Amino acid sequence: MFSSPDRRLQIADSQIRRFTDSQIISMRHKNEANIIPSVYSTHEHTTTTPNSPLPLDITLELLASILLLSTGIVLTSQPLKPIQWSRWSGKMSREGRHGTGRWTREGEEVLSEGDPYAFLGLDGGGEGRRGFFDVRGKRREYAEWVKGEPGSK
Amino acid sequence: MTQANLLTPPSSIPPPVALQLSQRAPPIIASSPTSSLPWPLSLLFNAETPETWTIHENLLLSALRTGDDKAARALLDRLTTRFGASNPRIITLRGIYEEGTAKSDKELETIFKKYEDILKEDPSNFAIRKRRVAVLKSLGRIQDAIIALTVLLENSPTDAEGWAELSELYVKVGAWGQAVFAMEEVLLIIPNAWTAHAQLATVHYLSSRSLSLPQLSALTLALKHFARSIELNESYLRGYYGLKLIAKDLIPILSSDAPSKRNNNEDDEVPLPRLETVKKLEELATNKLAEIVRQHGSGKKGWQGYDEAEVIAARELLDRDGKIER
Repeated sequence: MFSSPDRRLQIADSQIRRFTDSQIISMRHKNEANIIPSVYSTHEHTTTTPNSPLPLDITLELLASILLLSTGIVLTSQPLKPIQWSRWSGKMSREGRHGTGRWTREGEEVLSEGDPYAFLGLDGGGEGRRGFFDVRGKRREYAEWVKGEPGSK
Repeated sequence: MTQANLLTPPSSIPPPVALQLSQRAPPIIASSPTSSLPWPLSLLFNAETPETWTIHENLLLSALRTGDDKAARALLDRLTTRFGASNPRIITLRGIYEEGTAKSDKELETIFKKYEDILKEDPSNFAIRKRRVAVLKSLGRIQDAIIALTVLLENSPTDAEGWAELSELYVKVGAWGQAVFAMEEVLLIIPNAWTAHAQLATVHYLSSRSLSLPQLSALTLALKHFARSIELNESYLRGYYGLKLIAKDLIPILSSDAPSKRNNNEDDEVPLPRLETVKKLEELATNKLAEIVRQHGSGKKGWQGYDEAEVIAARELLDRDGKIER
């Protein structure tokens, strides 16, 4: 039921959103503003006096703003992930999923990345393999639990 | 971990968590994410995100699970108006809803017939094929479910989820050879999945336990795949647990009558591991399990991702080991 192309599209979309939301907007406010004046001055300078070299202050301004922009990108990006497969997966196993501090409109927290193979349902739990979701079994389990603990509902 | 999440539901949902999840329904049903305004305006006042519909879907499933059929119906209707009744995913969700609200096996049979009709119209709807397997399984017709699933996999042999399900069905009927084959298919599709390696090792191990004579080759293969699973995930509790369990079975066999076994064993295509290697692996597993139990027990941050029951099982395994040595 959760066909993969659909899901992949959704993931890609959400990643794009994430990127636009957190990175670009914050950066635009902080740093991008610095780069625009120098680009504009360069344009003005070359159109008005095409034959003279670019003044030093415009070059310096551009270099300084690029440096600032790069620092901003480094500082606002997500923490790095381990490159080695076993380290990466081991870290995930040890830490489990935790909140990332971002929330959807419905008030659900967006969690950090988890086992990408959970959809195979091979690791206990019994919530993997959603295509074969055993709705009646789960209903029965729940009904028995309610009967067992009458005061809990 | 404190509060169940609807966007990414936990890997195991016991009834209390299911209740917690489905109690989230009223506010979500109350606020419509789509706008009721005519077309150009609706684009401006739309509040939906991709997460919205994942949440709706998960909520629908947990509402069905807790018997909150009214909420489930409302959610299903909303999904249907958004994506259209002929969307394959919506057809499947409607099927799940009908299955959940079916009162008897007879009603389930009619749903099954309905699935057949849907497949006659659109034979490529694999989600519905999977539902058919699920219904057969729910009716207790495991053999029929296996047949339906093998037909599905013949048409779509790269469906790892299907192979995993098939392996589990074969385990249920005790067909170990077929179960191993199905798991190996999963590994062909996603060779990096540590869970799949651990599952294949478990199937090998179970098959060796179900037969009366000690199956050296099955144990060896189980050892190999558990070793592979910890190679792919350095903190995989299940992998270390299995490694230790199998090493403990293998060490006495290998150290007692190793030469005779090695000579007249018919399955010589599986080379037996050396005794020292197995001992080293056991030591490694013991150390790692002890570390996991210790760090998790002391409540250290960054070690709390493990399942409580799994850690308790690991502690018991270590304790048992300690008593034998003493």
